[in-house]
Amino acid sequence: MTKKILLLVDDSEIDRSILKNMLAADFDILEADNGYSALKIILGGRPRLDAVLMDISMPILGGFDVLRIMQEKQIENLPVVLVTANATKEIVHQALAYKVKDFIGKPFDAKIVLEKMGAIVDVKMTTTSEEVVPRHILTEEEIEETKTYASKLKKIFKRYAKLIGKDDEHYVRSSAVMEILLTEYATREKIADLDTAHIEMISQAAYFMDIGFLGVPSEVIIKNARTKSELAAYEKHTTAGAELVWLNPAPECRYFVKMCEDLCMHHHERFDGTGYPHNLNGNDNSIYAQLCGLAHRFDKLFTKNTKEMSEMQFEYAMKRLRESTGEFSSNVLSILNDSRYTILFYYKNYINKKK
Amino acid sequence: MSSMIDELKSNYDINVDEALERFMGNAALYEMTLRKFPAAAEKYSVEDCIQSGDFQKAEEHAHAMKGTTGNLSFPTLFNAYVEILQSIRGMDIENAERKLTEILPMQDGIVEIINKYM
Repeated sequence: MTKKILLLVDDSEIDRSILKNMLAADFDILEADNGYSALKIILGGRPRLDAVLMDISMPILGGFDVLRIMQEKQIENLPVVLVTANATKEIVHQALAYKVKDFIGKPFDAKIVLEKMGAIVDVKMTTTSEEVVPRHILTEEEIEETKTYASKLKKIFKRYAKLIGKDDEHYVRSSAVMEILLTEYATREKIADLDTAHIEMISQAAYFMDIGFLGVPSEVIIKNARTKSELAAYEKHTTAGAELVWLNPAPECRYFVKMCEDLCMHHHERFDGTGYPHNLNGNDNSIYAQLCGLAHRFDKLFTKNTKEMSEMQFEYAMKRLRESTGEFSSNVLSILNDSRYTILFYYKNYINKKK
Repeated sequence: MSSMIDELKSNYDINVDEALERFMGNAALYEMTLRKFPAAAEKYSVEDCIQSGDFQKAEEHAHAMKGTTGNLSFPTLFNAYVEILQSIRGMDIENAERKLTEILPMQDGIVEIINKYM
């Protein structure tokens, strides 16, 4: 597994050097010696950070100034741990308001630093995307910017598909199935704020689940039977996709990009924890990535015989999915089953449009 | 153990065992980090700030020196900076100055030894 990326922010070179030594085995470390430089890295969005370890008291911009600006820019999903020699009640309250994950005291204790930073990253790896991508009311600006970005990304993907002699129809259909599944999920779970705007954006993100193919040799992609090493290369399309979608790290596109990242990364996880790339178990994988994986598999099975997009074909796909023990939860399979007529209706229209 | 650390240990209050634990047994890195102490001591001079009446900066510098001396395991200096920081925060500048006068010879002595090995 690749190392997580940690941004270390402290004006004291000595403190940075100590922390770097403690954490270098577990993290790729970026350094900033003041809050302003830290913000440039955080807001730049590249490289994609997994955590920030930051001193409170610094020149130019202090730790709390950085947290305030992060909050203003809606960067809520990056775990921050504060370094302080003096965690007073006031500091703790202020930190809680900014959802700071933890504190590390000075002088440093290697065991505590390693334990706390390890815990932060473990938590991040296993949180559902509901926590990683918190929902908020999407602004017109976010919706418009995301549309523009998604359209550019789509052009790149379609051009690539054409180059290797494929088209994007599977992804168009999977994205539509994803929308139907999400609507059913939001209705049955009574999730009021999972509204049409969010559902559309998440479904749009599902279209890009395999964009990471761009980072894998094309001969590996088009092959049916793959050797062990080719299979390993193929599986990298998940992590490659999760990186690639960050081409536009603008705050207005962040919800969409984070969702794309989750779906690219985790649509091949299995409910029994034997999937890839992270072997996420059960609901450690987000419901969105589970539904995306299901939409992906369903479309492959359902369109196997393109002339027969009937209820019988739906039954065939359902049967194959149920037989694949451990791949999907009974919950998501029941969402699919309950959406059958909407899905059949969609495919009929899809075929009619094609004629 | 290097001769620099030996010399510091025989002349001043330095907890090498604790420091090495913090540096995860990496003595070379500890020594390398110690070499950064003279620059830090100059950069974060509390005395200069107090003399110029900039007490906010004095507080920031005392805070930085507290962290640095703590992390490098100089217990006497660390405890002194804890007291200096509290005094500045409580605007007891007289006590901060008194404490500074008391510990600066030790700090300068440490800086002198480290500089000898640069």
